Formats: sequence, C-alpha cells, structure tokens
Amino acid sequence: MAEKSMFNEPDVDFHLKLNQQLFHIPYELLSKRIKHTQAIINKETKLLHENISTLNEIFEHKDVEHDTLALAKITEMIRKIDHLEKFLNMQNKSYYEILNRIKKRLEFFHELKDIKAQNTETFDDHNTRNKLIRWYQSYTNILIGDYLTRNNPIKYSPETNEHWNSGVVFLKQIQLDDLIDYDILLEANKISTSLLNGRDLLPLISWIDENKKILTKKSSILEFQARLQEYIELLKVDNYINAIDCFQKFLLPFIQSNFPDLKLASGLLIFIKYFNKQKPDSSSSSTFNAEEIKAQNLPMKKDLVFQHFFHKSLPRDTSNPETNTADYDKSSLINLQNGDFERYLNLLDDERWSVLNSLFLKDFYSMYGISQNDPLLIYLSLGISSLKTRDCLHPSDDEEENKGTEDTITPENGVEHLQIFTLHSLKRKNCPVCSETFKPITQSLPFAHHIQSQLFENPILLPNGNIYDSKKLKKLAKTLRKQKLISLSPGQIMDPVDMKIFCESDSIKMYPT
Amino acid sequence: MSELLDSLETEFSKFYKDSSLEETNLQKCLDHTHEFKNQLKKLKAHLNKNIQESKPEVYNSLNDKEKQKFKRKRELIIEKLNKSQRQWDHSVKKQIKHVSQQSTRFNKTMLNKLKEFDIDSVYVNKLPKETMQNVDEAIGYHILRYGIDNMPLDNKNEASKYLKNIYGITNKESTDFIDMGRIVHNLKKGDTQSCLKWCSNEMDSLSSNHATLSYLQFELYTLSVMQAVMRGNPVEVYYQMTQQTPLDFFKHREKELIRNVVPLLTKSLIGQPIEDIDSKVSEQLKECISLFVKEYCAAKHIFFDSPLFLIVLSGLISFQFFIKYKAIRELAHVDWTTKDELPFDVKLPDFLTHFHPIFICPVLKEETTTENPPYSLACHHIISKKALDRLSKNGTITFKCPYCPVNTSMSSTKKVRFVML
Repeated sequence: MAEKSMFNEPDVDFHLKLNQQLFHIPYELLSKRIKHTQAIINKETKLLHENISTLNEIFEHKDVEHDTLALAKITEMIRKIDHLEKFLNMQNKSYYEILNRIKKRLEFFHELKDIKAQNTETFDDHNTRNKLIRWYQSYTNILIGDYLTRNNPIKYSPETNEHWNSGVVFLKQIQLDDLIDYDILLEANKISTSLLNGRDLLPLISWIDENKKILTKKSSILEFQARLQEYIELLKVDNYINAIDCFQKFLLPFIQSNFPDLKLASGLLIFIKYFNKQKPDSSSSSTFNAEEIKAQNLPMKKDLVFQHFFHKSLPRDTSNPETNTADYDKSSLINLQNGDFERYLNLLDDERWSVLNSLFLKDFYSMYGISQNDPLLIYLSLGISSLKTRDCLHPSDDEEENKGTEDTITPENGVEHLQIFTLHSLKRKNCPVCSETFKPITQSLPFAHHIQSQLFENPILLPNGNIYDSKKLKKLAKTLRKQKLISLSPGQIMDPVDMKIFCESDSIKMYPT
Repeated sequence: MSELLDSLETEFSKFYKDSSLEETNLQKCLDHTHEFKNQLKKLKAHLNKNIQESKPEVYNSLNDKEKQKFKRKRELIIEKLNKSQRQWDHSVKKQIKHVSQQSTRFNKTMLNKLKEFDIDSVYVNKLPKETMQNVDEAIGYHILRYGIDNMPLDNKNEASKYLKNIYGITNKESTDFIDMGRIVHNLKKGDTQSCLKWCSNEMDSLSSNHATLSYLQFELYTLSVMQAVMRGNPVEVYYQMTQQTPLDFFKHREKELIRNVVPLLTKSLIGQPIEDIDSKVSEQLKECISLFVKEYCAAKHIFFDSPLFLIVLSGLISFQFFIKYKAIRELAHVDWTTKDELPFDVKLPDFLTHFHPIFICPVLKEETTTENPPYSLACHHIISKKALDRLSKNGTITFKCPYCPVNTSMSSTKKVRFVML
C-alpha cells in the first residue's frame, strides 16, 4: 500500500532508521542487564547444586542429629533463594522499565503510521494536517530535549536536595521523557563536565573500568590517554611518587602499543624535575606552578606553562634547529631551539582536556549507537540549507522599512501603524531562516537548489519594478482602506515595500515562465 | 511504508509472556524461583515434622508398619528436595537462556535493519560554533511558544523567574508569552473575560487586523453560550445571550449562528439533552485557543510557528534527499562539490517555502540572485541579467524574446523584483 505523504515527509520506516538510537540504547541496557542476570543465575544455581549435594551427604547419616543439621542447611538455602528472588524481582522491574521505553517509542511511531493511514482513508486533509503538525512538534521537542540534556549543565538545587538538568525538566513537562534515554545522556554530560570544568578524571576512570571489556574490544585509546593525563596532572603538582606509581601501574601495560608516548612521559618527568630545581624560588615553595595557576584560575596555556617551567619565553620558531645553533645554551639540558621541546609543552597544554573529552564522547556515543553530533544541529543544518533562498537575508530589507514615507503618502492615522501593518503583510517577514535568531546561523550555510520557479498567480509589475500577486495587492488596498490606515481612492493600490501609491491601471501583467 | 515498524512490533512482543505486553519473559524466572522457595519451605516443614516424630518417645511407640512409613516419608522428602532443585535449576536456566536469545534475535533481525545509515554522515555543513547561543535562543522561543501552557503561571514574576532559572530565557523574551499563557489558562478554566478584554484592547490599535479579531470575539461569545448550555440552565443561557453578548457581534454571522448556536439553544430551551455537549465545548475551546494564539502572535509580531520547528521539519523532510545523495556520491566517487548551494533539489511543502519567491531564468536555467537579478522584456517576459547581456550582446543590439516573436531593445527592459504577499 502506498502511503500518502502530505508534506513530502519520509515514510514511517525511514523515521525508524533515522532514530535507530531510540531502540539501540535500550537494547544495550537490556543486553547488559540480561547478561548480569544470567551470570547471577549461573552462580546461584551452581551454589544451590552444591548445597543439595552436601545436603544429600548429610542425609546419608540417617540420624536425627544430622537431619537437624540438614534442616538448618535448608533454612540457609531458603534464605539464599529468597535473596535471589529479590534480586530477580529487581532485575525484572528494571527490565520491564527498559522494555517500556521501547514500547513507548514504538507507540510513538505507530501514531505517525495511524495519522498517515487516516489520511489515505478519509482524505480529511485539514484534520490530518493538524495531527501531523502536532506529531512533528513532539518530534521537534524530543530533539530539543536531547540537545538540552546533552549540553546544558547539571545543576544542584539546595531546596530540593536534587540535581536537575533543563532537558530532563523539559521532557517531563511535556511528558515525552519515555522517548529519550536521558539517563544515558546525563551520564555522558556528567563525565564530560567533570573533565572540562572540574579537571576531574575520577568519573571518567570509573566509567572506563566499568566498560573495560568493550573498550578493549574496540581497541580504544581512551584508557591510555586518561591515565597519561592522570600522570601529567600528578607531575604538574610535583607529586612524583604517585606519578611514578601511576606510570608503573597504568601506563606500563601499554608499553607494546604506546612505546613512543611512554618515552615522552618518562622524559617529561625528568624535565619537570630538572627545571623545578633550577627555579630560583624553588626552596621557598615545593609545590609551585600548576597549583598556583589553578588557584588563580589562570588558563594553563602553552606559553604560560613554558614560562613557569622554564623561565623563558616560548621560542618563536622551533621548526628549524639549524639556523640558531649559535645560541645553544650549554648550561641547559635542553636545546631551546630543538623542535622536540614542543612535545612536552603539548603534554602540559590544557587543550588535552578537551581532546580527552572528545575521545570519551566518541567512545561513549558509539557504544550506544548515538550520533556524535547533536541531532538537533544536524536537522537545523539540513533544514536551513533546504529553506535558504537567494532572496533570504537581503540587507536592503531593513533599509526599505524606513524609507520613502513622507512624500508618497498622506499619513492619516499615523504612519507608524501603516508601516507596521504593511510590513507584516509581506510573507518574507515570516521566513524562519531570515529571523533575527537564525540570521547569524544561516549566513555561512549553503543555499537550496531549485530547478523550478516558485512564484504566484496573476503577477503584475508596478512602475517601481516590484512584481506582486495582483489579487493580494488589491485585497491589501481594501483592508487598508477599511481600517482607515490610509486614504486610497478606488482603483488605487499601495506597494507595501516602499509604500508608494499607484493606479491599478499603471500595473502591467507579467508572464514569468 | 511501515513494514519495518510492523515486524519490529511483532518481534518486540516476544519479550513478553503474551500479547497483552504486561508480563515480561523474565517474569518466568522469578515465578520458578518463587515456586522453588515455597517448595523448599514446605519440605522444610515436612522434615521438621519428621525430626519431631523421630524423637525416641514418639518413634518407639510406632509399630513396624508405621516405622516403615516414617522412613519412607523421609526418603520422599529427600527425593522431592532433589527433584525440585533439579527442576528449578533446569527451568530457570532454560528461561534465562530464552530471554537472552530473544534479545540477541531482536538485535540481529530488527535493530541491524535500522542501521542503514549514520546521521552524522550528512552533517557536512556544520553550524558555526559561535552561533550556539542563537540555537539556545531559538530553543527558548520554541519552548515559550508551545510549552508556556505547561508552566506555572499563576504569579507573573514567579513565572518569569522560573523560565529564567530553568531555561535561561530572559524576561524580555518571556513577558509576551507569559501574558499569552495566562489568558490561555483562563480560557481553559472557562473564563473568557481576559481574552475578550484583550480583543477589545487590540481592536483599538490601528495596525491590528480587525476582521480576524472580531471573528475571535464571535467564537469566544459562542463558547460562553455553549458553556452555559452545558451547565443546563436555560435562564443563564438567556441571560448570557441577551445581557452579556453585544448583539452586533452576531449581526453578520447568521450562517455560523444557525449552524453552531441555534441547535444548542433550541434544545436547551425545550430541555432536551444534547449529545456529547462536553466534547463540543472542548472542541470550541480548542478552536478559541488556537484562534487567540494566532491573533496574539500576529498582534505582537512574533512568529506563530516557531522558526526552529519549521527548520527542523524541513530538515527532516530533506533528510531523505541528503541520504540518497550521499549514497550516490559514494558510488560515483564524487565529492560534495558545491559550497554555496546544495547539489540537489529538495521538495518541501508550500507552507515551508512560500516566504520568498524563486525565479529560475528560463534561458540560463539558473536562479536569479542579487548579482544576477531578473529583467522584464518589452513583451513582459522575464529573464535574468546575464541572459539579457548575452542576448543583447551587452546591450548593443535589439533581440527577439526567447519565448515570443517580440523584439526587445535594452531601453525597454527593466529590472524587476518579485515580492510575496
């Protein structure tokens, strides 16, 4: 059966493919839960099996004493089973909850199917149109909820003693919270925020530990990079013992795959320590630089870091060591003109945190089959480009709003009202792409491609070069007259762009093809 | 097409015990375990009884047959204990295996079919990072426009504080919408006064559209009458019609009056019950709210459809074309060539595209732009500037229109501009 498409919108199945993550995420959660349940069941059944064997052995004795022992054993078994039952009950509850998400989403898309089917059956266009619009408004709301949950901060409210995020608040308010796995998005948000704002690796590292198997399977470099960062941060605060400990425990296992990085990391230790000693005031404070910088909330920028560690400004050109060999500083371990030097600065740069964050998000999102980019932004990009016409964002539009009123018309009840009224009779005033909010976004995006003209009925040319729909222009003149915004004689029309008045007979019928 | 949805639904239902989708397939594990626990408890009680009976003072008083029976009982308990453990072990393992298989199958047969493309792959033209604030602003507008009804609006200051706190929406943006939301709240409560007051205030403004406003007023009075009818008091209806409603509102609306109001009045007068009056009133209420919101947005010159919504809808519609283009591009090994224009045509519905005129020069088959604007010829046909220059050899000769036999000289051409009303 061919489905009627009212807005040329895609079919239901395409919608499903577009939103595969809505099913993929709960599946991943389901799958994790099942595996866990299965493991527990296997463990418990094995234990119970052993219990029964012991029990049978006890029964072999066939005396009251041992039977009493067996009784105690059974009581213990019942306790265990009771425990297991409670566990299964909990598992089943959350299993049910996850399934419910899938159910709600299937229902959501089923609704679209019904609306479309209804259109095919009843041809009640108006009704279907409204329903379809409403459905797509919900769809848009889901995208907004997703965007806010991903990007807006998780805030703490002391009154309710709860954490909240505007995305989740929004989704609950419009009762669409079952349609998004906001718990997953919030988890990513939390870890990401602690990396970027708190410079805190702990949440990330505990997430890595939880998902080690999957990450190793995908040969992810996230763990190594996170541990390297941990090591670097320890060095920054002069915690050499823990840094070396971290190196040995967490970095050494990567010696096969990341040997050059390990070399660099060990080098960094020596450099930092060496320059720490060289520092004139190093005697007065043992934990210097990074702590200080952190305390002052200064950005750990490359040149700043350099200043701190090496007490020299960042060499300008490090790419060509031969030209400056004469300046070789013998008292220093490092040849400042040596390009290799840059490597250590890169390690110390704060930029690494955002790199680490992107690495994390990439691994996290791909684990659940979530798109790397915010879906809302993808839709906006596509939508803007398919809407943006050559007529959009005309700089002349704003000038036109304020020109040519005094000598062309006789203001009767205030020019201002007339201006406002006529300006808003122009369709382009409602163009979403031209709206103040979207203007800056739209600017750099490509135009839509058109192969056919999209004009209007009865085009007439006014002496000023503007072409209008004749009927609409006459209707506008009629309304203006009726509301007494301007005195127009019969047969007169007004150009709403420059507000000049013409006779209908001055207009020329046009034949655009 | 919704085949995928159909099979997804079918496959999904297998996660449950039956088609009512109330109990999960994992529930059975729980049931079996519960049963096993009860079984154990029962057996424990039996064993306990057995132990009591095996006490010498009891046991010795038994005759041989009874002793035999006693022993048999004990064996039976042990046997049953073993059996129920075996059964439970078997069934619970079987069931969890079944659950696990179902989830694997769901993934393999269904979810993999959904993974046909990657939405990241069409995000070629990225939104500039520095405009994310604009995205937030657009979201704020969207939430105000469609979500204001769901917000706590009783206190105006509280409401704007709430919006600022939760969504970061400034007072300037929210004021208009809070007023709108409060009127809608009143309408929902059955109070049309604030809305009528707003209408009459608007009527005084010259730049408002009087025709649509008076229509809204008419619908509001109709709503009031219907509400009175619903309450079932003819006297109140009469009062409503004669005292509360300015009669001239019904003057030019005989048709609507006869269709919508008169049948209700008649029935109310003769005391006959009116079928689904509730749903009729609620329909009328919806109509009034939608008319009011439309008028309100028009009066305040704010977007009736949130720009964000229109763009997202366009994006959704164009997704098919982007995906298709990407597939073709990959097959043909061509790159995303044009930077300032999409390489394909996206067909959008009229209500998304009627904001700007689009004119394709019939000679060059190119869209006219500010640099290459449309020009009218002597015969009132229109071509682009570039085409005109070419045909007239840069204005040096008179030429024949490509569509009709009329000749055009440069002096009879005129730069034109299409404007949508």
